[in-house]
Amino acid sequence: MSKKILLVTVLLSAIILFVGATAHSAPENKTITSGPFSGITCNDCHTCETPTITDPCLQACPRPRIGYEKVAPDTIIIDLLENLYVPVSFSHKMHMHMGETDKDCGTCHHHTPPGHGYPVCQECHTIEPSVESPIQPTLKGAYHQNCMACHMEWSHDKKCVVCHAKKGEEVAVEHHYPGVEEPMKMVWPSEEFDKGTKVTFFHQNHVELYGLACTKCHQGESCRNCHDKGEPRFKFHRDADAFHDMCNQCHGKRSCEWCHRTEEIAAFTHATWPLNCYHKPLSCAKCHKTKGKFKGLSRNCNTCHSDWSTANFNHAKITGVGLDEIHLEMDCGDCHMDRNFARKPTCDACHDDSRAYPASKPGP
Amino acid sequence: MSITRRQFLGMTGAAGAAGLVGSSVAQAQEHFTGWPDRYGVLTDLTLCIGCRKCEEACARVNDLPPPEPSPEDKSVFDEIRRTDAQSYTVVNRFPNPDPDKPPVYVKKQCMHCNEPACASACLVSAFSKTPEGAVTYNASVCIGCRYCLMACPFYIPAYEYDKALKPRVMKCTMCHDRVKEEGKLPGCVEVCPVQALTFGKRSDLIRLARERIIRNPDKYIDHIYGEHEVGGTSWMYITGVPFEQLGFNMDLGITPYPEFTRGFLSSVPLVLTLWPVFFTGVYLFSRRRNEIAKEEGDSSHEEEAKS
Repeated sequence: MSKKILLVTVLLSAIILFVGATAHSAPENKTITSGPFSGITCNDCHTCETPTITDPCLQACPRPRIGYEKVAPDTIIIDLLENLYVPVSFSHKMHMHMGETDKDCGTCHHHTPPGHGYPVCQECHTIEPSVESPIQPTLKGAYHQNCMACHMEWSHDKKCVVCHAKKGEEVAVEHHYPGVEEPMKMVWPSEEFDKGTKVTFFHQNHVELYGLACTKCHQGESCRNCHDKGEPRFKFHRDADAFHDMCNQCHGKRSCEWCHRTEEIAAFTHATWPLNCYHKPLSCAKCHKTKGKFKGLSRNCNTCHSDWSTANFNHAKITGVGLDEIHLEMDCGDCHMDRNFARKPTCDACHDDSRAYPASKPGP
Repeated sequence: MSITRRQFLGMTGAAGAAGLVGSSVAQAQEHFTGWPDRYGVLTDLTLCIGCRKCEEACARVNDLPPPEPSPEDKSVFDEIRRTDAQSYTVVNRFPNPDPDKPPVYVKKQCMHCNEPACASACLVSAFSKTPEGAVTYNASVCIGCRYCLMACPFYIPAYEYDKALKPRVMKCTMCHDRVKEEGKLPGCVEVCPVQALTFGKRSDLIRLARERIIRNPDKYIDHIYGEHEVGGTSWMYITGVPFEQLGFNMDLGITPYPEFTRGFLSSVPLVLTLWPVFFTGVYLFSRRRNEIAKEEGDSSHEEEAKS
């Protein structure tokens, strides 16, 4: 009997402890009920259990689950200080996306009190200077400090008209930053690794062919690293560890020699099956669906386009070869023998008069 | 006893009684630590963009000719400039030791020392440290000796050499009249678009500077230039690039310049009043002794002659 009581007590205390433990970790999932962040939970933004001011352990910005896209304004017209110049149209949304490559929304929205949504500038910064408490810059100073730091970096200019249009003068605002001249290929020396002293990196392929977002590699960087009116561009000072971390995000399972070669390597071009205009914009995974190593796929269109039929297939638009009424009525398999669309059909399969494509066409 | 150093210096000139002078020296040195609510300006060199709007505004509010060349002309930065009789303030450009970072712009003007060397060097008290913090100049009493130009540790005051009549010493006034009578900010502070200049009570500004340095230890050098230099100045600087690379003189020490001459100068009245009395006494005493000796000599000669 006493054994039973003991067992029950042990079980009960275990349950109480378990419930206690879950209750303890619960606050991180507490849902915010008011303010612009209402409806989200703590761990939508914070990655650790107890965020502090010094280490808020925030996820990279923007944090999609928060729905900043809905909360944050697209454009802000700054007209509070309108005087000599017309109001400034500030593309908030665009700068938000730029914030992805920089540290955080906090680059501009600094000193956000805990539990407070990102404050607007004039909540703290007054229009008139306060001689008695000069700790905070005025609104004008705050705006300029925030904007000029980056804008001067790439423009190397401090003319007011770079951002402001003067009243009465229809001068176009010159604040469009220079585009990025993306490098095609980069070859890094790796002398300290005996087996391969060259690492060839195809930047353009990673962006265009493999569809990598810029932020996958570029985070917490100055705008000027890519956008700069003067030379030189592309100033990335990274050590070997940083490079390895970056590449290993995707190529983590590769051997050292896969990147570190003795010679420069040729770019991957998908040459074994040239991509047409429809396939080019697709991400690799759209066709190569199995995770891990990309496997060769069957060249038969039906492998992916299983829904294509005689009724819905626009032969002229997709293949560039139009069909006349006679050919349109035929079944695909009549010309494409064994429905093998990878092999181009020939005329002499049906026609005996030795006609041949492209001199003769199956349509207009 | 509320006595200022300036009043004290004036007093010492007029004082005759050595004992009174001696006790005043001790009291003035012990108690005077500067006007408590004096104003100042903090220049944050990490924020300055070198637009030279401050030069423009300074010329406008002080009725000086507009800066030459105009702020649009960047060639002005090719050489390091000094303040002169036509410009109370100039902005210089210094290359950033990190070539990836933009250059550093340094605004130069009167530092408005807590204990100004110019004022202590002036024979006629044309300079005064106002309770508002500014070091101001009174042209009506100036005799044009230009000792102030030589005394200034920052080489700031300039002289109107090209004026035949009534030439003046020219230097920044921290817009004393604008601040005191109109309640406005100094011209340069008001116009600065990035608020690299902050006007406020000197004690508040030191707190502000410290806070910025503590919050951004990687961005700033842990030094407030002007907090202690030459005994402290009203105009102070913080920077991200070492001050010595930005044309700041780092070997000025923390002793107020008037301190170096105080011992000598305060002994001048003593010497002037006591030495004449003392040496006259010595002279009279020795003359009297000589007379007595002569009389005694004469009488003994007579006695010898008689005998």
